[in-house]
Amino acid sequence: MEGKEQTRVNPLIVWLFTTNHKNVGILYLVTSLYFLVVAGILALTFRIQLTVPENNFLTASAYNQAVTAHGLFMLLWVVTPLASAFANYVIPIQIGAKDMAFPRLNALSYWLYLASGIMALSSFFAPGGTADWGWTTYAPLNTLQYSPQAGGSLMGLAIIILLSSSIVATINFMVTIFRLRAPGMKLMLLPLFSIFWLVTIFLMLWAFPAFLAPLILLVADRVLGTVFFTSPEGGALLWDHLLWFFGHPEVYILLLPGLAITGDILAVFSGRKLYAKKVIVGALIVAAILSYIVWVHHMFMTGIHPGLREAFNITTELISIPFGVITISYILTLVGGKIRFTTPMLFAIGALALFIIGGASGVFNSSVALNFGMRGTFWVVGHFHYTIVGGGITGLIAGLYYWWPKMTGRMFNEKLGKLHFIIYMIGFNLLYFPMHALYDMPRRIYVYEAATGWGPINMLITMGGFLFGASFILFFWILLDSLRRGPVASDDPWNAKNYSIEWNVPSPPPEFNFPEGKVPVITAQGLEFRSINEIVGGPVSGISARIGPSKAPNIPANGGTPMEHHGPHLSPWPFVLSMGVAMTLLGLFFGPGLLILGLAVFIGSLVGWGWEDLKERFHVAIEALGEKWPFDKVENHTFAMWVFVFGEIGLFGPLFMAYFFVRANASLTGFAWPLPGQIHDITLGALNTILLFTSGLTMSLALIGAKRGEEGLLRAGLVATFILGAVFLAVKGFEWSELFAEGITFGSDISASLYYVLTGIHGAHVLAGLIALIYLIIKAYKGGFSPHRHVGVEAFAIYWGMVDAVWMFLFPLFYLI
Amino acid sequence: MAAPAPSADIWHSLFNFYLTSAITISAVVFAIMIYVLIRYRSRGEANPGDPEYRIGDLSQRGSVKVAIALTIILGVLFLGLTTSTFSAMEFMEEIPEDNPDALHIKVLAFQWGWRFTYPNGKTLTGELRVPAGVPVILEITSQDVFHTFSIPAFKVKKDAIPGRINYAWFEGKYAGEYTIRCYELCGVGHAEMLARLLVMEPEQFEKWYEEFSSKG
Repeated sequence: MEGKEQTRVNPLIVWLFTTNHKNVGILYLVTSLYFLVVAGILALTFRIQLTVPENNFLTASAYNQAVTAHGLFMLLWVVTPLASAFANYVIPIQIGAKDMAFPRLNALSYWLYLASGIMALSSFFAPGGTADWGWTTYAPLNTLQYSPQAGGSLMGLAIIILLSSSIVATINFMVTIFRLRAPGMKLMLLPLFSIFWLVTIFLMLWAFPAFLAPLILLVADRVLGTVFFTSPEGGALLWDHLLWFFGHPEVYILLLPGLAITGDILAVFSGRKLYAKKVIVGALIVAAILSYIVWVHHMFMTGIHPGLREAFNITTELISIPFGVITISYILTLVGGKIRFTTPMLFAIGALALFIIGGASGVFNSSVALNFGMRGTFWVVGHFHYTIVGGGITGLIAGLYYWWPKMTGRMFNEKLGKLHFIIYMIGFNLLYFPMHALYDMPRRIYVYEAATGWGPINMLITMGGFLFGASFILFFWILLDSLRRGPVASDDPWNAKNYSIEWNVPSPPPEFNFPEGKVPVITAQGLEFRSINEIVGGPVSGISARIGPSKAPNIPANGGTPMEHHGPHLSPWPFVLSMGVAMTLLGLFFGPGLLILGLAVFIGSLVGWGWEDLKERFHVAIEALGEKWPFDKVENHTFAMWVFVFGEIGLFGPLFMAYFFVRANASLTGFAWPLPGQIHDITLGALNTILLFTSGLTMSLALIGAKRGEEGLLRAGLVATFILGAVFLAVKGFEWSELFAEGITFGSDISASLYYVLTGIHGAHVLAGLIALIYLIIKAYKGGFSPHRHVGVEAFAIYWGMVDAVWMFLFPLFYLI
Repeated sequence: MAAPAPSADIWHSLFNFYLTSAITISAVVFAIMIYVLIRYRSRGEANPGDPEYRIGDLSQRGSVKVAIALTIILGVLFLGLTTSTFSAMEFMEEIPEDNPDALHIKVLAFQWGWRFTYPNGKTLTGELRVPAGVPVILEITSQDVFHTFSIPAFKVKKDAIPGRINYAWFEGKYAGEYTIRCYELCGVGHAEMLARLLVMEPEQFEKWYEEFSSKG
């Protein structure tokens, strides 16, 4: 039914403006495969360069750019987005939801991802080329002094936008998985893919903002001239700590989705339950927590304290235990089954086998003593490709074959799929296994002498690389061939309908996933589709769903029943906003015309998005039917804001850590930190503290007004908050201009850099808050809030409280001590 | 063939121990996996029958005892491996400061090369000459970006970080020529950031060092 409305719309418009999770998933899939090809071709160019000693196919600069872009693209623009493609397409169905909690934010995640990808690709064409410092971006090579090319700064900005996109997606998935599960669908009942994805986004929630922090500092160094990575108080080790704190969780973010799909496929094609699923999930959670306390193992040679190194040696070894448990449980899952060797199953078995080899070579790396040999060599390159490509990407390819019939409604050629598997495995092992023999050859050298004897092994590796590359040509042929003339797929081609919900709906599923007017319900007997009224009307037998109308969000204000579907599932604003962001930032490098146009588009899209909301032009009825404590107490937007605040800890935490790191080093290097009152006027700081604190109170009053339906109080509170926030910014601007007049600029010294960037980031949060307040004030004056509908006010109050709280740290750090 | 430095000896014996353990453990795991795959393969039945799993079924397969046993076995294995490296680490890291014969060299990494300063205050660039059988203590730093100093044949490695001094030591057993390399990407000259390490017979070294010191 819903589909009919859309068929009248131009298909291009549908793809640009879609907010449907399945369409967004397909967009993610196509884009991430495109970047896989780009990053793969980059890898082949530097493999050609390394084939023989003394080769001159690439210059050193071109080689370094290719290596850097290959690493960054694969890590950031390929693996996680490919996993996101499946997460977007499959997880709402697996949990029994009709869409994501915030369809427009979901589209925004995708379009920001594409915008960041366009920026990253454009960086090759900026003067001097793109970043050439290796994906690890070690300081101070990453600073303007040693890498002056503008493309490096553009790459930095591209990563910042990419991380922002991921953070938006993280919040959306968190709310979706916690709040939109079908009645009776307990977390432990979900397939491993959904469970592992939930753990993955928990890792993302802190790891990605933690990477955002050093990147902001880096871009500030390169664009504003701050001195974080050029001064001895910050410098190389500040970058190292911040990067690797992100780095290890990131490894699991890359690995877990593929590992999860592997487990699900092993169960489905052996017909057996997962062996000790609770143990698998427990081990996963242990590994995820451990991943936050192993980062120093990337820094064993930096001269940090030996006791610290032994401690991190142990934590790193500990990680082998949960992954060992998961691996063995996977193998035991197959025991007693009837194993069907389909293409997805072969790739899942392959992923497990390669992951075992990668795990074994990783044990070597955890040893501090062995690091004297292996740090910075091809051994390490071999190891992480076995885990991330072998365990992660192979698992994702298994997933693509597994869900392909569901996503396209077409089967693929099984014989060719098996051939693909054979070529893939031979190519992979020929490519990466010999790297272990090069345990003396440094990474990222573009040329080596014949006398080293590394030539023959490199020849073998390059041949493996081309075979591996060829396997992807066959892969894409298989997919295109299936689209063109593949047999039509049934709802359940793999006999997996008892495993997860997606195999109980048509291939591909209808717009809202489930039979018209029905929603899935999980009971002790299994899966059923029941009519919505049956559920909303009263408690469903056998399940404990507590549902009331007030808890079902996104119900149109006109009182339509939740099931009614109003308006199109389309919105232009996520697309337009993202393109505005890309144009603005590209304009910084490619011309002011683009910059101005981009800003106009960006501001226009904010207005448009707000207008769409005020007019309630966009609503998709997605009910939270099966929610349980404590998620029945909060509403989607409020919950999302709490998740966002949690993520902000991941941003401000590392920024404050950077502050303390610098202060500690300042006492060692003899840097004279300004005394209280010497530079920053304590009175003005105190005034701003009072302003912001008061605005917190007025915001609380506004919220009380909204809850009680006292519109006067609501409006007065919002307006007062806006004025106080604006005065805060004005005072801040006055302070900055005074400092500039005194000659204290971004790059004067490390204390000035810290002050400007930290208070600048905070000020940007205040500014964003003011923009949101304009929307809330307009809505309040149009009578858009009532005691039952005031989620915007509540969510904003949480945000504003966080902005206040951050200032409560900034004020003493810069003004008082 | 014995390694040319005590640090390399201890590294290779540790590496071989790890390699043996890794191959053994992986071989066992792979053997089990292959056995399971063959033993429980579907024998071409058209209908594989009803699977064991069902949506909504919370009952678990597997036993807690197996999980605990697995954790303990893996824990003993991996922690055993870990602690075995600590003695090697201590040997490789303990700077023989008390040894009066030790030769102290300051190492400065730069884009792109190595400069070595001897106790007499004189410097060599691109070449380091040391006597055999004598511990050499290195004070490593960088004048520009992050580099990593290494003598791969000796398994000696330490980061060279601007603004910091890191210590390392080595001892060449025999006279010979070895390569010093950078192991951290440091710009377009990274691949060619090499130096020659000349381990000399002690008498020859003495002779050279005297000449070197007296040169204007």
